[in-house]
Amino acid sequence: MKRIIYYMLSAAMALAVSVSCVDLDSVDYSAVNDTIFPTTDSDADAIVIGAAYSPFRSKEYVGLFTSAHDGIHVFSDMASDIGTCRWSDSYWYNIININFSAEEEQGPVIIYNNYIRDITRMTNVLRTLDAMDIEQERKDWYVAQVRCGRGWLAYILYDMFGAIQLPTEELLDNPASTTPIPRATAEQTAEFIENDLLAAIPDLEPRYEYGTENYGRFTKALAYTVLMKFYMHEGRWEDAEKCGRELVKPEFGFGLVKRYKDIFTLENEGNDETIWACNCMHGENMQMWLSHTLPKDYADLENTDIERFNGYRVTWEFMDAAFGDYPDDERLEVLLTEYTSASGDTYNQENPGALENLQLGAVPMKYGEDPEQIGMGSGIDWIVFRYADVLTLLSEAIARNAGAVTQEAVNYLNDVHTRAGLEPYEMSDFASLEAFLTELLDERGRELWFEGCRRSDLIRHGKYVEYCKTRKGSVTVDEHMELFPLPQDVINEGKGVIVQNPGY
Amino acid sequence: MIQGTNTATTTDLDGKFSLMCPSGNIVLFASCLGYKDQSVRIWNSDNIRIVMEPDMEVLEEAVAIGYGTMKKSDLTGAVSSIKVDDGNVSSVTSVTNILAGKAAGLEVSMGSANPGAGATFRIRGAASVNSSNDPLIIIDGFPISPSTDSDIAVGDYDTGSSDNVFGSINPNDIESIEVLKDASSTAIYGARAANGVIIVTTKRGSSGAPKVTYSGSGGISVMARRYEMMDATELMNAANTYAYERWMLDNGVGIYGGKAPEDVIKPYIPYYTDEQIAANQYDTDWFDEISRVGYQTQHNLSITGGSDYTKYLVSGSYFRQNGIIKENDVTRATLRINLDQKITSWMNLGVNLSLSRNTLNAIPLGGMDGIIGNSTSYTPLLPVKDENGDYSINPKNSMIPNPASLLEITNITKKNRALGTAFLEIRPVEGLTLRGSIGLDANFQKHQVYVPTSTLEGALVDGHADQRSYEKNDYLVDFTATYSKDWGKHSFTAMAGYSWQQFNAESFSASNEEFPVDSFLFNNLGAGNAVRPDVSSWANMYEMASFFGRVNWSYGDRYLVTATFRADGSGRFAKNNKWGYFPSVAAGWRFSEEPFFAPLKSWWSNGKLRLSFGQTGNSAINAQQMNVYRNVNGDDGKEYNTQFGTSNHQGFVLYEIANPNLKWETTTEWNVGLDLGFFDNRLNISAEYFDKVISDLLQWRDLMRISEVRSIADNIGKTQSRGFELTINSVNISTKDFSWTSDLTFSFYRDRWLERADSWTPRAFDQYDGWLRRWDTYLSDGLIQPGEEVPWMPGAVAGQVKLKDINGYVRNPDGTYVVDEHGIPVLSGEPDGVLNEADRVIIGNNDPGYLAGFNNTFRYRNFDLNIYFYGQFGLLNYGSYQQIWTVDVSGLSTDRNYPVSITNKFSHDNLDGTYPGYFQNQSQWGIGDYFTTKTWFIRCRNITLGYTIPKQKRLTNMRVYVDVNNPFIITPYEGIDLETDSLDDGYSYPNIRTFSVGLSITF
Repeated sequence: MKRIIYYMLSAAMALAVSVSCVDLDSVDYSAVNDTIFPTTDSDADAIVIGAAYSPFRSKEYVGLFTSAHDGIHVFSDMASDIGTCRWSDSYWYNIININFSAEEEQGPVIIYNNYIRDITRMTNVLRTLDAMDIEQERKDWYVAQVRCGRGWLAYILYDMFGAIQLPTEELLDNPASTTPIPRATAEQTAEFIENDLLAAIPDLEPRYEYGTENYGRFTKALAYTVLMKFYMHEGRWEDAEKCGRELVKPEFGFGLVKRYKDIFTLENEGNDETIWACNCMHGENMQMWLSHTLPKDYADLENTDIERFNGYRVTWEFMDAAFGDYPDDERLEVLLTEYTSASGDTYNQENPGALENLQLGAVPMKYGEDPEQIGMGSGIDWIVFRYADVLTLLSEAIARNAGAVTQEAVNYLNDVHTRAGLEPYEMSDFASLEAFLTELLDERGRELWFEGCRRSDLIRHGKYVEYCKTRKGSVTVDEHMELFPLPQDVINEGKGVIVQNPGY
Repeated sequence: MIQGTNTATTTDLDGKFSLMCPSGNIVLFASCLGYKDQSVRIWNSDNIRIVMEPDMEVLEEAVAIGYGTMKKSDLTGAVSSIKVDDGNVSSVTSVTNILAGKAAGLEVSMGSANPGAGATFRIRGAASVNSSNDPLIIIDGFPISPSTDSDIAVGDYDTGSSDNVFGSINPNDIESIEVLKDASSTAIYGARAANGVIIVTTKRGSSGAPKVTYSGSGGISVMARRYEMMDATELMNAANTYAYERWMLDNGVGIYGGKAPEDVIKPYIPYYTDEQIAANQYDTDWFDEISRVGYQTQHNLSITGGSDYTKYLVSGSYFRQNGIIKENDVTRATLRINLDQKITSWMNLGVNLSLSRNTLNAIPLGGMDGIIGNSTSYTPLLPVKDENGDYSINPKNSMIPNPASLLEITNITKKNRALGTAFLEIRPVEGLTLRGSIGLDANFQKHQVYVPTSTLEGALVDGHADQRSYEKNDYLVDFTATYSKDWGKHSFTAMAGYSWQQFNAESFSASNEEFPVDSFLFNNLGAGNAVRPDVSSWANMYEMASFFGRVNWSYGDRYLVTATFRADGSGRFAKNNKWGYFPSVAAGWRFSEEPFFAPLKSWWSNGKLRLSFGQTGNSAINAQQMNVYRNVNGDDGKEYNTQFGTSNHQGFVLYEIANPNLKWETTTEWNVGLDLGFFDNRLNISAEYFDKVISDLLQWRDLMRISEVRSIADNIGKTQSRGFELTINSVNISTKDFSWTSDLTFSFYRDRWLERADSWTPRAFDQYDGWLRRWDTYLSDGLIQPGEEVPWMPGAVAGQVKLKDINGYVRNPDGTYVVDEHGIPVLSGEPDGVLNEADRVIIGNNDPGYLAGFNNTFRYRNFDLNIYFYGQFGLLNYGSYQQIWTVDVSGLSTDRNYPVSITNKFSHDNLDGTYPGYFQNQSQWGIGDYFTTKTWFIRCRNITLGYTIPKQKRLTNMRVYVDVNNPFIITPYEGIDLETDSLDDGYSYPNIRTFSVGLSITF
């Protein structure tokens, strides 16, 4: 008996040792490993979506177009003469008063931290796609989407920070590399952006009809728009003008919506003015604009489930400067200088109310209601680029390229100006190119508030420091703040090879 | 043994023995570990029976050392042993409370006073930079791998930590706890022992008549210290003060620009007129609304007994604690069966089974939006509910939920755990013991939250329900063979073993929104109308296998040597690095047993010198061996999804890359120990010094921002930890009627970097060999005075903390930093007119400087009194809530409430104010070290007074006691409690004081 049990135990011991210790494993069953993924066409689509589309979302607090403080249209307008905010965090205080710091842990600076890796991710996806065995036409289309996304993202970073880092071969081969990567030169960055967008254009569809299967994917029109903005940034007026002239071609079928306030409604999603929008849907990716702007006691809502956080405002200083001469501008229908509260009181600049809801500025309502909205998430597509932006840029490019005010330039400007119910400009209204450009800058301000154009516009027109001083009362603004600082983390990571923007 | 001869034998497991004795009158000498030595005079007898009496003194000397026990006097490593005394246990709420301050070198941090909250355990510091500095916990031979709170986290509110380590154990079941500290003691657990080992041994049955023990207690708890916030009138006046300062700043008046008030066109408008202040009808104390007197009770019943063949212990317990916040409680029920069955004289079988259920009703602790932060800061100017019966909402800041409404959130966590081990022990030949055991640790947890429409957050989404379940099943198989042999003065024990463990975890969660009614809570997720309700799940597995062995040799009780070796394989490492090898060796010399020591023996009863060296490992990093793609972002759990047309599309990204070079983290440790006993061991002193180096530190290393993947599991350098531990046990007075014993523990450690990997990204103020948990800060230089220019702080205004510009970067011509050979920016050492990271300095670290515990027990006749203190010294502290919460008072514009200390703020009419001015929040550099102090505390953990009722007919023992837990704390710190105040946001669950009475009966 003793012996039998002894043998049994020894046998059990030997068995356990031999079976289990040879091949020790560690498995995460909820991830897919790279020996079996990506292989198919739908795999390819999944990595393209992950790489090229994920940055360009307005998914509550996520994405470059979030309605919260990390949205580029939010903080870049806040860092101009347009935007201000009722919330008192020091974060808002420093953005609004133009006092940028490399050590800030939110907002503009963090955009570099959060998105520079997407440039690398897209680059690696291009490599992966190249090696995949899928239908060539599909592959070309996937590649075009990724290059459009990469060029666009690089332009966004370039506009904010100047020259950026570009992934090296070494980094792509070994993502764990610790060799610091210096910033490319401004020329290299510009070339990178231009090459991507130019390469993407041939294989992208001009435009997708609203509601069709691929609505929401990148298009030729989007690539042209980004490219046009890039050329404007570079002062390459002639190239910008060419892009603009492409976009007004009938094959794209873009046009202006009759009334300004109808552009941003649920019924008119995918309208002819929309060049590209973040596709939002109730219950899926949702934007939060109305909740970030409307006062709590704003009564003129059909859907009272819309939460109102009472934050963003357009400064009275900007309102006076831009709309002072145009009190009947129809765009003021959704840029509230006055509203009647639930208790029946009317509030405006003179009487901001006990809660001071209108103390700082007008309410940039802009968007319509989503009847299904509960809380802060709206399913109305967030419009990123629209035709009015292109038309006014084209007007500017033509005039600058010609070195003089032309009738064509005035006409394009008038398309947008008269849509707001205003009398058209005449050639004779402009004594000089300078006067025309100043008026055009104001017009773009009236049209595109909180659409993320203002900061770049002011810088291009050489007015950034001046307006921030005179209209914001900023005591800290300086020419070097036309670029945001790179995050201190990135500078430290460079161990002496990554140069900070001057002045920081 | 026959006295006066060398004839000796040992008994079998039954205690039977046979011995050839010379005839006549002889004296048999019998000894057994844990029993008193006996001499029996026998006269030509064939059958004798010797009944050994347990020796309580010696019994307490048997120490669990992992895969075996050892006499304390034979120990060569650094082991602290805590015998759990029934009397004091019944008033504690968890095992954690038993451990705090009891073992030198073990740091127990009670993170929170939240009922059921977890604690962190650190043995000899935390020299690993890895997320895991947790010691290995072994319960009855089963190495536990605890779950984490994040495994069952759901919803937006942080519900605080919960005890995943000891939460499932009834403190009354515990016989002893051993803390294995140095590498020679822990090396037997090799790969998982780098942070020390805590061995918990539960009680077992003994033969004899059944013994029934009941113990129970009940008590009430109150907040030990309250937050002192403004009342309604004070708040309205403070708001007006703020409005006036704001008006002055906006218009450049007085200290903010020099203008005279009468020169300003825009009038000052106060938030509240005197009439409004006088007419105010509400003054709600929100903390009163959400708090209550806490309550706790526990009942334990255990039965032990058995025959010669079967011994058992059955125990059950019930514990309930109601927190001092309403709707906040924890309930624990446990059942334990420990069974020992003798099958033959050479074979034993045993089973340990424990079942437990913990139910926690949590409150949304959160940070600022949680119930603590919110109830301190919510405006007292509102009633709890408005005239419609809805929770009132501050019209000036409608984003902040009503604190009382947060009590409506249902937040339940249920944790079920079954921990079972079974073993078979065989002694085929004399001296050889084979033991095989299997074990299962089955952990099932469920977290359910419903946020109803009566709360702000619930109203936003028409109710939000979450369910998450988590299952963790760990399997253990181990075999050991132990052989002991004594010859002459030599005593020899060898043990060899094999162990295999598999760890399986899986989780499922689902949530929905937009419910037609609140009454379903989370019990009908399908009734929600969210378009795409969240569903998620994950699962993972890994395995470990180990071979280990230990040899003990002693000679004449004077010379002791222990050597161990363990080889561990982990599935987490790539093929070439799977196995780690961990040797150790230790030696002890009981010089008091040497002949030359004899003259001193009369007063110096014991002296032992120990020296040990060993290596242990750490593999606590959940790394993959392959590159993997996922559709979820690891930072926020959000999907990479996009919509095209009308349908949703999931994006996949490269999520983790494998590191083929990843290898074991290894701790190499030296330990020197000295044990001294005086006056017949009435005074015992034990001191340890250790020096350990941790190499190949495991960490999720951040990759460069430009890398596609955020981080990679990697070995990132070397750290060193050195420390000292002292334990003094003393029987101060011992008479028939009165005794007084004291135990003192004292320890400290220092953790530093030794080497850093090339991937290290230093900041300007970093030191290559700096502290592990450095404390860096700007240096403050008082408050900016009116009219004072501070050019390096552009935009600064009077009253803000003035920070020192002391340094600047040295730059290359192209503007990049000049760095040294480690990549640390070179600094100029001179002010450069810019306040930036170069001006920050390291002023210390986050670790306590010194730890101490002091326990005193007095007995007078049938009365006993226990007073226990512990303390931490040399703690850096950022500031108390009075100081920190008043830094940013911009919420005064929306009636946010602040501590009454707000009156200390600098303002135009309080230029001597010591707190920063009203616009400190506009400074992007913060307050630096303005409020930072080095501080300390000594807590009286408990005072317990007991009375043992003299033996009655049927009762063998009966004791009643009263206990005050946390009666007082001595500290210069003015906040709520240094130990439980959170460093992050300060919104901590206030620590409690508990008064209880209890009873224990044995019959």
